[in-house]
Amino acid sequence: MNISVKEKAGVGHECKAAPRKLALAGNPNVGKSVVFQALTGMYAEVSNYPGTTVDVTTGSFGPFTLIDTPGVFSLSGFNDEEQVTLSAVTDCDCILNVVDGTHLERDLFLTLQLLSLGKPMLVAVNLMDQVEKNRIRLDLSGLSAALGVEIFPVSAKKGTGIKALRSALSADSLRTPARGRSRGEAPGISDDGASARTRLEADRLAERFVRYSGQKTVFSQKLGRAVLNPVLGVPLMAGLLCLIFLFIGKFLSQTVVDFTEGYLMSECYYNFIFGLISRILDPDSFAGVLLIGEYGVLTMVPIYLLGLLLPLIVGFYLCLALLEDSGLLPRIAVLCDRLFTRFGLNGKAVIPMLLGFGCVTMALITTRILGTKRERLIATVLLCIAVPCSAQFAIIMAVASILPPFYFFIYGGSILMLFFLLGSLLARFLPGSSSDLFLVLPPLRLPGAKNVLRKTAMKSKHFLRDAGPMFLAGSLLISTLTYTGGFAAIHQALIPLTEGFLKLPGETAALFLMSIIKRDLGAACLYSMVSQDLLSFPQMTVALTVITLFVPCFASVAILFKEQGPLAAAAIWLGSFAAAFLLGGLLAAWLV
Amino acid sequence: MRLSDAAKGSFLFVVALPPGEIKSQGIRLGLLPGAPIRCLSVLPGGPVVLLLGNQEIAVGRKLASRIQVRRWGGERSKDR
Repeated sequence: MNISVKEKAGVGHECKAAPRKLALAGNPNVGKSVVFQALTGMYAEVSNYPGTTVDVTTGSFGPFTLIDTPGVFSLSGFNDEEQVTLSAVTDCDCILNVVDGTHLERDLFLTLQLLSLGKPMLVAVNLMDQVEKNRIRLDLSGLSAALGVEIFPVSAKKGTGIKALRSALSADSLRTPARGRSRGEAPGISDDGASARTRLEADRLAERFVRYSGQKTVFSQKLGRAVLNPVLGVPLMAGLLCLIFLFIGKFLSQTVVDFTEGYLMSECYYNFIFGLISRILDPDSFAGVLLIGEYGVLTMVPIYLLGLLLPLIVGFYLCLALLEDSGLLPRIAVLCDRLFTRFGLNGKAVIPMLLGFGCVTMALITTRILGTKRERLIATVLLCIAVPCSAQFAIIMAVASILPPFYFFIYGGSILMLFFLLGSLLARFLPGSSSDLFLVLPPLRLPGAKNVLRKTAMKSKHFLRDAGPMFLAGSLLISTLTYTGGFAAIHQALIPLTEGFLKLPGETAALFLMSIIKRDLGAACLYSMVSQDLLSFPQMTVALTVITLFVPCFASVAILFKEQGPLAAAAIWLGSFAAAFLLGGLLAAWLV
Repeated sequence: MRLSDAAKGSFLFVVALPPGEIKSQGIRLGLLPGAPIRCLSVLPGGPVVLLLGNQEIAVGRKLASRIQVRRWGGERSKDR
């Protein structure tokens, strides 16, 4: 996949040179994406690298196409991220290696590997503001001479050094390959001996060019270690998570949504669109029901997507971005490790679990970061069965806040108990091995506002883009069923299940049907039933339990098929179906 | 002794890493036999957090019990 630069034809007409591919590579958490952003501006496209599910971001700057790779510590292709980065740097025309100025000796390992590829290369030393604060002295000109590459000190967060970097990336630069290094581990080969030699060389370079002038432990380091103190850390983390749940479950789902959905969308927009369309179509006609009916394409879809889901999703991804960029997320993983080993997982699994509260479909893809197939399967099952996503989670919180404490604890307790039971059973009986936690911890930092907002915006955009079509399909299906009276028929047919077994009013059949298509649709339906006082407290508890445990949505099933195969997908779907109704029936028998 | 038995705050030398992926990952970061580390925190029943150079690394309990270390009985290392 080499893009060659077209030479000027001798016949006198100019050929426009194709953009050269510049790959950004560096360790995790060095601010690669911030540098990428500083160079390319807002335009960036996330694409899936063929063959894997690890994301690669591309953008353009001047005569270059920039390719942002996942952060890796080396190029030996041990895991997906390393393989993707290795492909990207072997494919590209030139390399921009971003390193962390406060961890230079660590980062130089990858730098040496990249240099051995013999491509034109530049090095940007990021986090220079932290370097100054920690009183680290770097002899960058010496290092530059020793390595044979140009080095640019940069603070992407503050914006310093970016201008110099930009001017260095001109049409004429990066033509000559870096001085090839015959020593050092050849990338793609995981030879421990070569690794050790490269590590030694990196250490020697650091000894010559990096000076730590007797710094004492910096405040952020002390704070980071305090967070990991078991006595302090666990309540701190629990408190933080509660805060986030309250933010999303109370503030956003009630106050904000009351405004965006309750007023802006349900009144202003609805009146507008209904008035507009009813002038052309009869609202009771088929087309009318499809477009502006209760589940209409122009009514329910935008009202729920923009009024209900959007504020919740933005809030959720905002919290997640803050946790990521502050360095708290990996520390939460450390604190949770012991708990997760009980389920055959390790602390890293906290990441897909947390993501699941935003969107289980996306979280399923993230299970790729877990070490072994067994862990990926366990995390997948737990996500599909027991984790409520996005609006479902927020609506559950809203409904649960109406419940008296007794019923709330029964609901919460049932879900947690099932989670623990399922996790432990899977850990006991699934064959295979699980990996141990081995996590390089980034320092605690104050998150940069721009980066946090950019991440939030991008993830929210993707969520809407992925959720939109399913919402549309759901709306068309349900509107059709409503119009043709199919719904009434379904309600009747499922009465033994709803009224008999679960002791819920017959209309809840609609709720379950909608949950199959999109889980938040079902939750929204529950919310409206609750606000119409159609359910007693015990019934609410039963309904909440059933929809929390209910089957994964269509989008998740598609991912399940791809990642785990049809057999596992079917087993998980049927399993969650059974679990939801069995536990619901149990609670109904006891409470109602 | 095993890393999982180390005391919080102690200064140690790495003696041996278990064979496999961890060994290779460790080498790249500088976690080699002979490398000086400091045990920063031991979570009860949970991971051990160590300091390698100025890099903090969290190691799961089971893995920590397979890493051999030796206590450093000498003077304090240059604090980085």
